[in-house]
Amino acid sequence: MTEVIVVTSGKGGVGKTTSSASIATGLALAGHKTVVIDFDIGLRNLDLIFGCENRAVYDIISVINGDANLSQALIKDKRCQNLFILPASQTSDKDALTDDGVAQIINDLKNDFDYIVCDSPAGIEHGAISAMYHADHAIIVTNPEISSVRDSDRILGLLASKTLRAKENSSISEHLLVTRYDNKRARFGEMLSVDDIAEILAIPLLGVIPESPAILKASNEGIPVIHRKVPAGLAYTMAINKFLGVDDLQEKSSSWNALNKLFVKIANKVGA
Amino acid sequence: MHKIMPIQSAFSIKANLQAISYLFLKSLNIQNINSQLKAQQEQAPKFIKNAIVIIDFSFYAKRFTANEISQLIDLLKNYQIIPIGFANASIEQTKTMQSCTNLNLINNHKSSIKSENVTKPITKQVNGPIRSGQEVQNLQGDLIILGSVNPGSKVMAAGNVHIYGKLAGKVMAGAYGDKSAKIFVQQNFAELVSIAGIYQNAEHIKPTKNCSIIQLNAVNSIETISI
Repeated sequence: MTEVIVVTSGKGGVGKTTSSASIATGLALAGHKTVVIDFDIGLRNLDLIFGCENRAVYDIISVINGDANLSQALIKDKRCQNLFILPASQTSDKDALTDDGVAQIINDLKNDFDYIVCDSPAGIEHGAISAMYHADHAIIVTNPEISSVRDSDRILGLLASKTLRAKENSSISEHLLVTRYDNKRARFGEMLSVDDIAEILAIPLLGVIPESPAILKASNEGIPVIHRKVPAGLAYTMAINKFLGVDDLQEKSSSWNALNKLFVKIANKVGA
Repeated sequence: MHKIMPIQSAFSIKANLQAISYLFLKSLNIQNINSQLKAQQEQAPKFIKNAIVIIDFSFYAKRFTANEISQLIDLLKNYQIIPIGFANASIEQTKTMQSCTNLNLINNHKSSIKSENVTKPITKQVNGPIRSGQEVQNLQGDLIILGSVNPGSKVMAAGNVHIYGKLAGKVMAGAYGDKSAKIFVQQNFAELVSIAGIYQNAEHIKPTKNCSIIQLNAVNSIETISI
């Protein structure tokens, strides 16, 4: 059964697109046929993160308008054979994204893929609602910062009311992904700790991605950070393993202190 | 002679459940009624708007003039309350009503309701957390929230509010003016608390991680007691 995952946050600039790229890659590397869709019409950047902007001829709006079919619009990732990308349109505006059009695309993709990852735009307007509408899982990307937590809380409220599952009286499986985390600043009390965030949002923790210079590098190179042997990349891999329920290091280091020690070890080893 | 039914009928009837309320009149002081309606409208606008009512005279036995009744009906219409009839009126009252309004007398046996509470209070329980932007209300009794009330959210009840979690949003108890209503919380970081319209906002609230009861004191101001 295909599962639809929305990567959303409410707040802008927290790491949705970065995370969508690495999460989709991680799922594909684990052997699942995955497609990742950019729902940010007019402000597309998923294709840049994947380094496939030169191959983007058609996009989701072309498919909705009937100018191209899905197989023409989907871009196959160069590094990962199970992974496909459906870019957003850069020239249309958000209204071009119709509810029926999106529903049709999601249903068609369900025939061929194991996972559909929807990269949501920021905000709580039509684009964000479209991205979350068909979701079975939601990954809430949150920075350890009070406005990000407040916006994530708002988005959780919308997930519980404006989605297909909410209307059918079942619920979306919610997962917290803390990004741009700095362990030192959290210890000094400058930054909200993972426990604080998890307590306010009251959803299970999927992973913690540390603040990392490698992420900017990865965007510039057009290679999702999960491909790199850096703490952030490893953190995404661990998050994927947790999502898929795969036993790994996560089990042995049950507290986040242990995990952070691991980050430091790896950081020292690879000099990132 | 046979009566032949026409193929197309002139109308059809469909049964529909529509809530009709009784407006138990206790005074014909138009100013007082207006103030009370205004207060109710502010606290619970959806309750008042387009409410269908039967004006019930069980608690008002006095005679009145056509003018007084016309004023009442105009006032109700200002608030978009729709009177559709009247009940439990004396013979004099019925005559006056029939002379100046086109409302019909509905159901003249005395209602057995003698007490203030027309409906039995119902407690509503909601599983939290109540997220930013969400609003939960129970205008028929107490409200119990299992979980926190997050910043940017609002919970409201006609009765007491019990929050098994951290209160960080807005809470209104005693929404219809019940000054004995109380708010029970595990932690108080409220943005605003209000009991029967008397409120206190975050500026004057001392945040606390202790279990607390928020209530009105003897001089009708908000006090918080740690338990």
